[in-house]
Amino acid sequence: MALRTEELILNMGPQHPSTHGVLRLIVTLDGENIVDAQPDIGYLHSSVEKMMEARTYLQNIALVDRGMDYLAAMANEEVWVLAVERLAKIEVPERAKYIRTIMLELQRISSHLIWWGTFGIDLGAFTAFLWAMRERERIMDLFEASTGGRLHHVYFRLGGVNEDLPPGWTERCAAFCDDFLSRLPEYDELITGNPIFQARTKGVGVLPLASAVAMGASGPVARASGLAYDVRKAHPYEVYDRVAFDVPVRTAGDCFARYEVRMEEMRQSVRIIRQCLQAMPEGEIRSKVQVNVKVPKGEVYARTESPRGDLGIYLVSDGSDRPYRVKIRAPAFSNLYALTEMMKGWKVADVIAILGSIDIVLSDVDR
Amino acid sequence: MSLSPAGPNGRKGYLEQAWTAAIGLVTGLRATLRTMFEPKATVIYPLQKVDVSPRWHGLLALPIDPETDNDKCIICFQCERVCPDRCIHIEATGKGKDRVLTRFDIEMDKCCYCGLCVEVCPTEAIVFIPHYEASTYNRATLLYTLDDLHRAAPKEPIATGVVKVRGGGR
Repeated sequence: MALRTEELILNMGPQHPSTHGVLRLIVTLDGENIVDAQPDIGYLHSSVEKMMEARTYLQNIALVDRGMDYLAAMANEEVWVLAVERLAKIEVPERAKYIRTIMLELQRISSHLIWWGTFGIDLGAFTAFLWAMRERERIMDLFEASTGGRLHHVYFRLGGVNEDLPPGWTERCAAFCDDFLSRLPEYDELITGNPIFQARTKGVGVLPLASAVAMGASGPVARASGLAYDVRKAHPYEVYDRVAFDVPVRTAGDCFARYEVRMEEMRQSVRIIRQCLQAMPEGEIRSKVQVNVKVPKGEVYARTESPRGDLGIYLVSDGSDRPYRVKIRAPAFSNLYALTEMMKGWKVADVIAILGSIDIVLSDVDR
Repeated sequence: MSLSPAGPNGRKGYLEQAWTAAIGLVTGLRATLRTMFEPKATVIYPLQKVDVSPRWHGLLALPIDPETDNDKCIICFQCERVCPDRCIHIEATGKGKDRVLTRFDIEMDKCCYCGLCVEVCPTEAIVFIPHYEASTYNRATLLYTLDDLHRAAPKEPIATGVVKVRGGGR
């Protein structure tokens, strides 16, 4: 007599400690195996794109900080000011470009540190989170000294940055770079080389290159599947065309490959920061731009490499002091939709490992 | 989980995997043990407080100018206009030199601490102060009037209450 079986639909979230926010996963299970996994989003929708139409170009810098990816606020500011500057043809002084690049790379390290810590928690290693927070706190102190904010900076301005770096900041930043590089081998000792961690991530949640491209995945997720694409190399902005850095690419496409790519990216970020600190010229940090700047009629698409991937803004201006329409291309949104491809065929215990390896921020997904 | 019992070597493979996992645990514990003897990175928050940077985006204040014994505000409404959350409300009476502030309210519950008001102010009348404990039990107390902004101190800081409770308990 055949045993009667049926598929079970399991709801994970929206209040689940490992979904990094409010994400609901509708997982269809056959026993312990995942047949299908559909993300249900929208719990953190704040209609940022619509709100931006009611605010001036300057005020929107304060909005994109918190309305989008809140763990990498300066990456959002960057893509916004880049779009407006390209449309309004605003010149940015050299020093401001270097300061922006340093800030963006510090932001990348801090965002990857949060991911590293929470990925450790997802897989049952709590120490990783405390260590990551310890290093991140030093980055937060650097941000606090130069921008005044820890998470929401409102530091970039149209045509430069708000204030120059305070005295002694570059030395502190260089000291942080040295310390951070000495910490990374400890991270490898604790997590990367751990056999339990490797058993839970190696070969798990494979995203083939074709699927990654088809789903529009970008950033570390796509690079772990073998797509050698980085906006910083392909469409350089700020001073990325003047600094030397490598784009880490892995071909395995599993959770461990995504992990390796991000760990290597942190090392490369330190490399970029060191070069920028060396090459940073003295001089102006901000060109003169009106508070209520009117942007000429037209449209523009600007893209940057945020810590999560290809972050773009499509901006339409009707010639007034407020944008007519803004469309945000959020990297976490596209990466989340590659989740279904990654999950099929794996066990229910791997759900959290796979989800953690994408590094989503729900505020960026829902916007 | 890929720690499958039915490995290529059967039972032996399982034991080997358990052995490598145990070695991994020891390596990890050695690393954490080493960190235990490093200087502490944490502070005991309500009892111990960290210094914030001079550029800290904290609470807003309208400090009184010691030279004129009055506000520096020239009632230009720039901060009110630039505020993205529209949380500043200014009213004034009189003309020319007799122009005086009658109302300067900041709804701190709406404020997003972006600092644009501080940036556009031509006379540095509105400034950030290095306070960061503005939590209260009542939303109404987050409406900061002219007097509160002159005093430049948070209303009912909740953290002082926490310190008292902790101190009394020990």
